Amino acid sequence: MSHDLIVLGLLVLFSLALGALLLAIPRLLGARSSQKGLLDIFECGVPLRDGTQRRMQVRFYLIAIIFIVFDVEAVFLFPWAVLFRRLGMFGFIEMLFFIAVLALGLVYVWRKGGLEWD
Amino acid sequence: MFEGLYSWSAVAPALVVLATALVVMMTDLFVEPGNRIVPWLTIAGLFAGLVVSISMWGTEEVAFSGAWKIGAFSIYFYCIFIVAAIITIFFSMSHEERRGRFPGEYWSLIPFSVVGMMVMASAADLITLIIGLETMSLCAYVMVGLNRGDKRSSEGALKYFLLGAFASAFLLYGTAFIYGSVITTRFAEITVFVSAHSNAIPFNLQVGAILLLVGLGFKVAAVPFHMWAPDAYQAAPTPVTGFMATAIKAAGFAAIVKIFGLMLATSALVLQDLIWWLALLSMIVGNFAAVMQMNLKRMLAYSSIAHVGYLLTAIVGSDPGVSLQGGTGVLFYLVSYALMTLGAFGVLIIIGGGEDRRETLVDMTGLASKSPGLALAMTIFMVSMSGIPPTIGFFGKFYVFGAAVQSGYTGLAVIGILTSVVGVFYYLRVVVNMYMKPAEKSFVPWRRSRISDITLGVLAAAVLYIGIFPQSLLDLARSAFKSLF
Repeated sequence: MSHDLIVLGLLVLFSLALGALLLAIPRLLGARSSQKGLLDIFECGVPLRDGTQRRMQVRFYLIAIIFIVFDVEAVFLFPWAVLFRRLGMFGFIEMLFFIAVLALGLVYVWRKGGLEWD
Repeated sequence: MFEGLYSWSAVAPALVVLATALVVMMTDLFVEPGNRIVPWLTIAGLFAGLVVSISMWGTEEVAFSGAWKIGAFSIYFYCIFIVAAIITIFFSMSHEERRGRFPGEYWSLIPFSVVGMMVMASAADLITLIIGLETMSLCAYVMVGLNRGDKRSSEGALKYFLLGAFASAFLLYGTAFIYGSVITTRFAEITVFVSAHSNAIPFNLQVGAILLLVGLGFKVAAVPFHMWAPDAYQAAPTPVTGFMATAIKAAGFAAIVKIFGLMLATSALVLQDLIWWLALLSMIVGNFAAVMQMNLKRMLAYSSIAHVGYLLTAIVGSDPGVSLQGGTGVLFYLVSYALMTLGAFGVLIIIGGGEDRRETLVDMTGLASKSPGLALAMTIFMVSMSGIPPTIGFFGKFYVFGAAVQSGYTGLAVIGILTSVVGVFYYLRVVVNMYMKPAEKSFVPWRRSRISDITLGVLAAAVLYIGIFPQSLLDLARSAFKSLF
């Protein structure tokens, strides 16, 4: 128990020391420059166009919800694919059923006009 | 390698209802809005689910490696849920005639929430239970908020959603704590662990048990976790309120009986005292707050809180676990409460129509001369709710309080009876308004709907019939409760 705590304490100390070291080295060795561009947000070298506090289309919420529904489907598909052989016929039919239910969801979204942008 | 892991027969009733929900949802997409085939299809599917459930009475099966157990207990609850859902759909159809159409999704949301309740009633694992509870609750949140244009409704729906989500967090947190100390979420294994460690309960298990109690207390609206109930009940369309007050409450009690009645039943956990306080506070606050309500939906909301108190009286039970009489009493009471509450909300649906909502005490004045049959039905339901013989409500209270006395909680039973006397005041005030006061408001003439008339008649007849011959329902309740052991 106490041994674990010593290791943990050493880890914390080491992290703090490493951080301080990495900040100190450029300060001691590096050249100082105070160009205005240094304070800008890094945006792939492209000059900033406007702020981040922009209005977003409220329609995006629907897209986001639909995305999550079908994203969760993918999450279930991966472990199923890994165990496909071991799950056998039962797993296959089970997953067909699962996908069929989700397909019904797609039909629903489509019919209700959830995929129309305007 | 998955021998015995899955079983179609164990989930057959739930699958039928799930298929109903999917078919109804798809049908609604391809018929013009307001087509009556959609609600009738829902009823047909639910009825098929009911038939399948009843045909499985007497069988018992554990499936999905112990996460699912179907037996007389779950089938008893299936029948409560499905019958309540069918009656709700009948009432929704007459509600539509008076207050405008429901969106098409409404008809599929009811079977979807019934699937969630069925999963809760047959869960033998905390995770399964929570998944069922969430399925049920998500549908309920949507149904409560159906009156989107109305500000009060949106407020009530949002309150219900936020507090419901909060309660789910409590449940999950409690499950995590229990898993942390027992390393399993299966009911059977937790039961074994609790009885083996009853003189040295781990602290985490204690914390988890209390968190579960808080979460389920929220879901069934036991005081002090009841704040959302009056607003949500008033916000929801009246058929949905009836559904919430009966089926959702029954599902909550299916979980409470299994978890607090059996799984965590040991005096080593301080649960017994906490449930005692929940029961006491629910009975007192529910009954006294209902006296103050002029809006009948709010009054029935507070009265449903009081009824939760009566039900918890029987759960307090003896050690170890809820007694046979207490469990039977709870199951009997849930049926009696469902019948009379659905009836009372059914009357409100017929009366409350048009643009202004007619759901206050004043709107009941003079109903007896305007519509004697409706007034008689409402009288039967109110008398039953106040627990006066010869109605089903009397026997419900009798068994529940009797169980409390037998387990040595005489004080709680006495308080229960005293607070039901307060209940008599506000239930009979409705009857007085209907029969002894002249109409203070002119009635909006309503088109008689044969469906709701017949449904109300059947409900009133059931309340009286079981009130006179309670034995067969009591036997069913007893064998259902016994199947848990």
